[in-house]
Amino acid sequence: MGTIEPRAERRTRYSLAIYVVAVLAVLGLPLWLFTTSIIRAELPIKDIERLNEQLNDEITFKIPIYMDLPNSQRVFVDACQNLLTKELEQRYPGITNIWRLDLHRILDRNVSVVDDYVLRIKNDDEDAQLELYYISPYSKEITLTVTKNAISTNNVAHFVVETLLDKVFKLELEAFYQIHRFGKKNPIHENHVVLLYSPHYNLVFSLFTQDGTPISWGIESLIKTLYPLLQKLQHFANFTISTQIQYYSEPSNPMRYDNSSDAFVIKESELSTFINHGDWNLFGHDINPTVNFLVYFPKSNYDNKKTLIERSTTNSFLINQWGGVYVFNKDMPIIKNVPAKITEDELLPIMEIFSSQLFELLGVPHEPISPSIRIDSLTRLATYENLRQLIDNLQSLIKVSEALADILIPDETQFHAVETITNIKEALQILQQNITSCKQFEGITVLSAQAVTASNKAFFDKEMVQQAYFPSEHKLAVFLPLLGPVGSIVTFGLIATLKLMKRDRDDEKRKRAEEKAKKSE
Amino acid sequence: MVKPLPRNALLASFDFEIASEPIELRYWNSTTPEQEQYGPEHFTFFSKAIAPIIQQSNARELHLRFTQGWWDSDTWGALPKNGLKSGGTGVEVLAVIEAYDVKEAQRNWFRLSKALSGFFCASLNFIEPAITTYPQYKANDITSLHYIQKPGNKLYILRAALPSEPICTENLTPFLKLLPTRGKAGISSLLDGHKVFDSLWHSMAVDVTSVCDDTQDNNKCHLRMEQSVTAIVDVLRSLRKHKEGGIPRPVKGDELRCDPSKTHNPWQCFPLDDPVDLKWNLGTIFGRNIKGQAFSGNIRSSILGLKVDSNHWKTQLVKHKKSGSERHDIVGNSIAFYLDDDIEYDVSFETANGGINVAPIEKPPILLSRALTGYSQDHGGLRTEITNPSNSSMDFVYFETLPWFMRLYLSSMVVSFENETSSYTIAGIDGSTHIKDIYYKPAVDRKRPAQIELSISLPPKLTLLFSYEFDKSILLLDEYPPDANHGFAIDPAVITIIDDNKRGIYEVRSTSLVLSLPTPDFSMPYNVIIFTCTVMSLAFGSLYQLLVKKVVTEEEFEAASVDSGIKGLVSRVKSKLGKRKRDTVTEEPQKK
Repeated sequence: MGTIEPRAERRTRYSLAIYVVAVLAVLGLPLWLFTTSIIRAELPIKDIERLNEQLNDEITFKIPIYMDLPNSQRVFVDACQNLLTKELEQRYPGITNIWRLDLHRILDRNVSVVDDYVLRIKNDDEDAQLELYYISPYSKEITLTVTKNAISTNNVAHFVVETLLDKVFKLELEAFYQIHRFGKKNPIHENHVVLLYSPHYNLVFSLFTQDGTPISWGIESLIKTLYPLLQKLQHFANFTISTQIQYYSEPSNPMRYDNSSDAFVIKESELSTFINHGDWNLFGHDINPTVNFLVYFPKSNYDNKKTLIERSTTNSFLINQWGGVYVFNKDMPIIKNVPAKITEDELLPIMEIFSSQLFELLGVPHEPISPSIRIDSLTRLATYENLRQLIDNLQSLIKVSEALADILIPDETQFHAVETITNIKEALQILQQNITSCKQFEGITVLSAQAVTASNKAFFDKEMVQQAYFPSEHKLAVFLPLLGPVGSIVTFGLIATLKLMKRDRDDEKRKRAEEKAKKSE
Repeated sequence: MVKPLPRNALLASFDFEIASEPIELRYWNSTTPEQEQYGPEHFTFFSKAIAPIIQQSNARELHLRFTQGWWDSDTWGALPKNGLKSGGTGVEVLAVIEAYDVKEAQRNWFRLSKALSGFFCASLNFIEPAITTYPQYKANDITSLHYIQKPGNKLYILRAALPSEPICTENLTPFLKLLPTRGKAGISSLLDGHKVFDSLWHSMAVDVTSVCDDTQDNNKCHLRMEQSVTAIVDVLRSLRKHKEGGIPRPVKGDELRCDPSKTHNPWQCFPLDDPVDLKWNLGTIFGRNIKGQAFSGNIRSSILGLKVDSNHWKTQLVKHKKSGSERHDIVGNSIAFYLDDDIEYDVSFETANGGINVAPIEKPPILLSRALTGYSQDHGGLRTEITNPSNSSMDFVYFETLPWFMRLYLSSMVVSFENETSSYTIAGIDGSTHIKDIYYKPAVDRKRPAQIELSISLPPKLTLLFSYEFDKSILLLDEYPPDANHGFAIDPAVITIIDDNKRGIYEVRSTSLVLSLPTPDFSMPYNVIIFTCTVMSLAFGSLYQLLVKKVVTEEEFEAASVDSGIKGLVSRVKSKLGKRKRDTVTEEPQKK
């Protein structure tokens, strides 16, 4: 044994070893982690979960329906309401949590049939055998004609309920039920015709001619016929309209001449490849989706031959999520050397076809007859779907951020996520209020549309996608020469120190025990 | 327009003019695009695809140039259309944008360039502040009063060039799609990317301007698009490709053209120049015939122009009718005619000595060449030579942009002149009487390039030489392109000859330059990190041991190591060996 080290000195050595470990663990490690970490903004996870619950349980689409009744029949409203609720619950269990009809009696005369559902009941003076219903094609007015027989047997309420559920709201109800109960897609969207929702669409009306003979069409004045329709859809989406003419547009497959019908025939199987996407200039260079309406002017018109689409009464067809095509046949022979023109009279029926195609592409239910009611149904359905979609988007954003530990979450994403949530919250608030007019739903649609834009911005942020696959092993590999030696030196140093400390303590104990033993001796 | 040039070259230029339906010029506010509702827009001949791109960036004018190759002005003379439709090597974009301030203009500019990049399949999306300039001399070219739609707004002229952009067939396809015929009829049916771009020099231009009727007060304007493709085709190469295909093969022995004034036999041959007696037609050069007029029923929609020396050339218009081909002689040196039928057209050319005898070639009004000087890795210089070969004085603007990594010293500028007999030098720029005005905007690192505009008036038959020096800077690691050792392309310089109203009447561009910058070894950052880490852990290790370990004397160490582990074993063995040694040592003195 050499010189004995003083106890204080030994203590300093031990504490130094521990201090080094402590400094490394408390200061060094966090500093290293911080300087090499990936920026991840904090997402409002709790808010999103809370919204999800709210959307499933707390919101209800309460649709006010105004009944035009004399004061004496006040009670009838309640009777109808009771029957309605019962019937709804029976047919679509659970739907009353999210979708309800509230019957009111018209108190003031300000209720407009354009904005709100008005139900009028007419007593038939003559002895008709059947009850009749009439839905106005211009407004949201529903007129019921009731026989005396029905009144006497108290069947009027039944008739009211059946009309509402079977004739007016049937498709909307079914869609709501499917979405809410089974989490399925909107059945109207099931055939994939409907375009993805966007708050802004471009409508492009194109005239494609097969050859290079100059042609003109009276589209300019006819576009105006679309305005009332688009006005009604205003809250749902904005539309920008443009028109174009393109020449030398050969279809992908040549049209075959059919002797039996004395016309060129486009086969049903060839419709899907009719549009020559490679050659025709159809790409829009726009972020907003484009709905294309295409009038095709075949060469055969100059020979006074018809071009027909197999098994089509309107000579038109619809392309899923893209638009509509109409093959134009001139009724009158074209005079040579006079530029051909498609007149406004000829275009009017085409515009009608196009507007019904537009409805289909936007997902408007095809019943009942009144466009106002159909657009109204679309508004509510789209809002509901949008809200669900939004929550889905936000949840998947959270899922992505949780699943990929290395993904970068920029501040913009967080900002847009919060913006989305604010919009959803506002929309939900409106829904929770007492709704007196269907106009209020339009505000929600606008909010949900804004939220869709924001959530897309949040999810598809450029930086986030770019950095998605930066490997973390890389970081470790680069810093291993530092972390390896330093880590091992410190760890082994710590173990050795701890061992020595234990031995010292044992020595001391033994010494004390010996001293004690000596003393006791 | 078709014009044969000396040495069996052929100048072919295709020009298209398209006007849109009346269109409302409007100021598009990018922050609130949804709030304003506009009426419908109609397009008949003008492409609907490009109009929104221009409108949504508030561009009132747009000029695009795609050029490749070197214009041989000695042989080919002045640039076609006074050079106003040809760019420098690579891509050039110039736009006139309405905006309320520079920032807004830039935002629109970058949006425009990104959209165009997708449209033309070119890397225009690489346009960034560091290569965007605001040319001053162009300001006189804008005269329209209707360009500003919102009171208080200003017009900004922005320009950028990408000299390293390769131009190929994928740029021609979108170009053709802008045409109402989409290359299916009229003269555009000749445009086949493989043929047009297989040329000595080619330039593609798209100019969109807004044309407003100044007499009316409403803001109904037209968008007017001028598109052009100009190419110098090597006729011999085209014919050879037509005959033999794309792969060059050695000329067969009996087809060799030997110089008859020198020895020639089956083993020896001094080859002659290219043949001058040729017979070819447009169909073989471009791979197809002209497919009739652009729009049937509109007999003025397509014009074909020819410029030949009719004394030495025999040209014929070939009409491919259903009943058979008809040939019509074309008489005259410079003629243009309408293609007015729905049949295929072709033009045949025949000459006995067309190599030299062509329609008169216009002399270039100005000659420009620019070169890099110096060879070191840290600095270099630029030397520019401008010659006025004409007999009258010439006013022009010399425009040059240099990237920020060329740190320019304008103080090092040396100007000298050279006429046919002597040369003299003027030190510095102030002494010069010919450089009237100088506009210089120095570069800001990574933010903007250096921009030089010299307003020069050059007397006849005089050559102006000027040079300046620059330092090369080292870039940040991620600023180097993937092929950094290839060098950086520098934009061509532009000379614009101006008339009395200061409007450009002729443009010529120098070639682009390749500047090699000091390029690091790209594994360097990893090496640095790893090396630093190793050094740091070495230092840390020894320091730590010093602090934590107990300091002992050597005796103590030996004493402690006697009874521990392997060391103890070693010392025991050692001590045994040592004992025996000591024994022998101690025994010896006893013997003495």
